[in-house]
Amino acid sequence: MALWVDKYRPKELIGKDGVDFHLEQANHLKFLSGDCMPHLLFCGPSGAGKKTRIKCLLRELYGVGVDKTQLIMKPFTTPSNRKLEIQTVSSNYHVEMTPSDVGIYDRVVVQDLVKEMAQTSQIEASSQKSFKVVVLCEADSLTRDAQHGLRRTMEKYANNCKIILCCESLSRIIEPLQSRCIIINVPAPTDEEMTSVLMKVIQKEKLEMPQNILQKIVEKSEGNLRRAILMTEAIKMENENGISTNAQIPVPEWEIYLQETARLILQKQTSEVLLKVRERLYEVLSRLIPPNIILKVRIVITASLKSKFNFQKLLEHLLPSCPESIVREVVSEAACSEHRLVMGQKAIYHLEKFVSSFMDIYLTNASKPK
Amino acid sequence: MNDNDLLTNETAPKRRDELQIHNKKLGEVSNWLKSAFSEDHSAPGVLYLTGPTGSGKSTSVEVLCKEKNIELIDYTPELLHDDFLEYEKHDFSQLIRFLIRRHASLMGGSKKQILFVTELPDQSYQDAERFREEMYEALHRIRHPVIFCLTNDIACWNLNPDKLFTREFIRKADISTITFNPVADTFMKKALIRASNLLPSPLSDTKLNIIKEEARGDLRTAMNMLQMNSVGLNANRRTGMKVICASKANKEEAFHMLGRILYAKRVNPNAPKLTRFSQKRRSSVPIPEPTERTDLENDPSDIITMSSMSSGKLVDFLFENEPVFCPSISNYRRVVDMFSLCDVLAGDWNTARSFPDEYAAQIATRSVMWNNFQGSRPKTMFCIARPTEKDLEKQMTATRNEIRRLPMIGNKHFSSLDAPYRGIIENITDPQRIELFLGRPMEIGWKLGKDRIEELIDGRHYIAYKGRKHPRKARKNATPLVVKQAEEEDETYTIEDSSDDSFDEF
Repeated sequence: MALWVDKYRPKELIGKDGVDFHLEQANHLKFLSGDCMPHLLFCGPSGAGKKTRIKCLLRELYGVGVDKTQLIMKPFTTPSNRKLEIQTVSSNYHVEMTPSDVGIYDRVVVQDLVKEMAQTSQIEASSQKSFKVVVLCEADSLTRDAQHGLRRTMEKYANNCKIILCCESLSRIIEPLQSRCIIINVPAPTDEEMTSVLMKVIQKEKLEMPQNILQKIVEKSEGNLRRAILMTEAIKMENENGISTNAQIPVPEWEIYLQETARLILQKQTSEVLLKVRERLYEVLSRLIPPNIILKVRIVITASLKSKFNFQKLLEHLLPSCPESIVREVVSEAACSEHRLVMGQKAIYHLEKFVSSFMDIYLTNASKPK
Repeated sequence: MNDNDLLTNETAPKRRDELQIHNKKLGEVSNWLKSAFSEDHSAPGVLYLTGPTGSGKSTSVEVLCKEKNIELIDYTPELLHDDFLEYEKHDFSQLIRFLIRRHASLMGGSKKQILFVTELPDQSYQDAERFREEMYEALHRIRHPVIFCLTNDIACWNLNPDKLFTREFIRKADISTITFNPVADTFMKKALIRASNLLPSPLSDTKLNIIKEEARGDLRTAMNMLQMNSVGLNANRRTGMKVICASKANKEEAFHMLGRILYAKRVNPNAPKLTRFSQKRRSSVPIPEPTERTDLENDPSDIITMSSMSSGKLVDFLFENEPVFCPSISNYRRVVDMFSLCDVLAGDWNTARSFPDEYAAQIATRSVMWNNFQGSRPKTMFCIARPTEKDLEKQMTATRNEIRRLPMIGNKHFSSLDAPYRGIIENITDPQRIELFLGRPMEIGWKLGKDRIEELIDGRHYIAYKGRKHPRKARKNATPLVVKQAEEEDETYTIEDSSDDSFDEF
C-alpha cells in the first residue's frame, strides 16, 4: 500500500506509462538520452515533477536496472578529520544524494564522493552507456564552496560521469554551473493538466468524487501536483463512507494557523501584537516549515484579505489609487525580506521585518486623510 | 602539596604544552617575542596584550619567555616618601622612568629582557590625553621591548585600559595588539582535570563540569573554586552536585549595557546636575522639556566595547527586547530592517570578512538608540529576556537530523507537506513518529521540549487539525511498522537493504 503519489508516478518518458504533461519536453529528454547526454540542471517549483522526470530519464538510459536501488550510508572524512555519513540511494548505474544534508561539509561530499563515483567506470561498457549518473538533489542549498568544487569535478570527469542537478530556484546556482549544464525547466502543471491527472488517479482507485471537490482540490493545490494527490488521498481516508459535495478538504494545520496570524496582524498594529505574532512564527518555524514558504503563504493570504478589504473601502470612498499604492509597497517589502531570508541565517529577523513593515504601511495608509 | 599556597600559583603551567590556550593565540605571542628580538628591528617593539581576567595572558607570556630564555622585568610602583613623610604619588614619572631606564640583568647569563607592565598609575585613567602624549614620547626612547598586559573587561569604563589605548593611539605609536578570549570550555576542562589530578583527592567529573560552567572562561576563578572545593580535612565531604561557587561580581555587566542601549537616555538640559553638554545649552535658549533630540548620555561605541559581546549575540538580545521599548511601529520597522541587514552582513561570507567585527553591532545599536527616542518605557524594573532564537535553533537542528535519518533523498517539503498529510492518510498514532511530531496541534508549543510534546500527543490518539470532523481512534490491530516500510520511500524504490532497523532506533 504505497502512497498514491508514488503508486501513480509515471515510469517512462513517452508511452503508455509516460508522463502526463510537458510532452514536448519529454521528447526532448528522450532525444538527449539517446546519444551522449550532457550534464543536466532540472529546475522548477515543488510538485511539478522534476524528480519524476529524472527517474524516467534514468530508466530511458539504463532500462529497468535503475529501479533496483539500495539505501547506503556512505562514510566520508572531512579535512578536520571528522567522520560523517551521508545517505545515498544507488543502483548499479547511478547514485542519488542530497549533499546539503551535511551542511558546510557538502564541498567534501561533492568532491570526494562524486570523484570516487566518477573514477570507477561502468561495468559492461559495451552493452550499456559508457557513463554513470550522479543525481544531486536540492542543489540550490549547496554552499558556494561546494558549487565551485562541483565546477571542476564536472569538467574533469565529464566522460564517465554525468551530473544531474535538481533545484527549485536557479538564482542560487552560480553562473559557471548553469553554463555547464543544459537547463531543463519544469513548470508547474496547468489546472487542466492537474485535473486530468487527478481524474486518472480517481478512476484507477475507483473512487467517487464530486466535481466541485475535485475543482477545490485543484484550486487549493497551488500548482503542486504532489500536494493535490496527497489531498485526494487524505480526503478519501477522511470520508470512508463516500465523499459528499460539501466535504472539507484537509489542509495542514500550520496553514490555518498562519491565516489566523495574518488576521491578527490586520486587526491591530501594536507592539503587543507584534510580540504575539513573533511567538506564533517561532511555533511554525519549530515545525521546520521552510521560512520562505511562511512568507509566501503570508503574502498570498494578506494580499487576498487586503484586496477584499480594499474592495469594500473602494466602494465606500471611491479611492482607487490608494490601495494600489499600498499593494506595490507591500510586495516590494516582501521581495526584500525574501531576498534577505536567502542571504541571512536567522529567519525570524526577516519574517519580523516583513510583519512590521506591513503593519507600518497598513497603518500609514489607514490614517491617511480620506 | 603546600596547603597554604593558592592553587592558582601552585598548579600554574610551567611548560608550553601545559598551557590551555588556543594555539593560534600562543603562536601570536610567540611570534611577537621572536620579532621583538630579531636583528633587523631598529626600535624595540611594544605589545598591548588584553583579554578578560583569568584568560591566561600573563601566564602565557611567562611560560613562553621562560622557554625562550627571556628575562621578564616586572613593573612595580614603589611607594616613596618625600621630605614631609607624605607618600609620593604614584604617577607617570615613575612609569616613564621605568620604561626608559637601561635594565641590568638579574640572572646574569640572559641578555634578552622584556619590560612587563601589568598595572598603570591611577593618574593615567584620570587624564587619558596626557597619558597618551607622555607615553608616545616615552615609547620612542625605550631600550627594551615592552608588554602592557592589562585586563579589559573591567566593569567601570573609566578604569578600562581600552579607554587609554585607543585605536588611533595604537596605530600612531606603532603598538602591536593581541587580544585573548575567555578560555574555551574544552580548554577549561582540560586545565581543571590537570589541576585536579595534582590534588591528593581529585574531584569528580560532575563537579568539574559545574566549576567549568560557573567560571565562564575565567581560569583563575576556576582554580580558586577548585581549591575551595577540595581543601580541608575531609575534602570530599560534599557529595554529588554540591559545589561552592565563587561568582564574579560583574557577571551582569552586559545587561547594564543592554539597558543603556534600550533605554537610550538622552541628556536632559533641565537636569540640575551640570554636565559638559548642558552647559553649552545653557548659554543658548534654555529648553524646558527635552522635546528634541539632545546628545545621548552614553556613547554607543563605548557601550559596545563594554558589553564585550559578539555582534551576533548583541543583536539577538536587542531583537528579543526591542518591541517593549520602541515608540511606534514605524520606528520598529526601521530597527528590524537594520537587524535583518545585520544578519545578512554577518551571514554572507562575501561581506562578513570585509567588515570589522563590530560593524553589525554598531549599526544595530545606533539604530535602536536613535529610534527609541521618546519610546515607551516599562513602568517597573524590566527583566531583559534571553534570546529565544538559540533554543529554537537547537530544537530545529535536532528535528532536522531526525528527518535526515528517514530513508529518503532530498525532499525539501517533507515537513510542510508530506508529514501532515501522511499523518492523515496513514492514521499515524505512534507519538515517536516524526510525522506526528511535525504535524502536532499548534497549541502544543515547542517550548515544552520534545519529551513533553510526545507525552501530550500520546494522550490524544489522533492528530487534530482544523476542519477534521471525525477524529478516529487508533486502530488497535494496526501494525504500522510493517506497513510503513515501503511507503516511507519518496520514490518507488525497492529497498534491498531493509529499513526496519532504522525504524527501531527511533
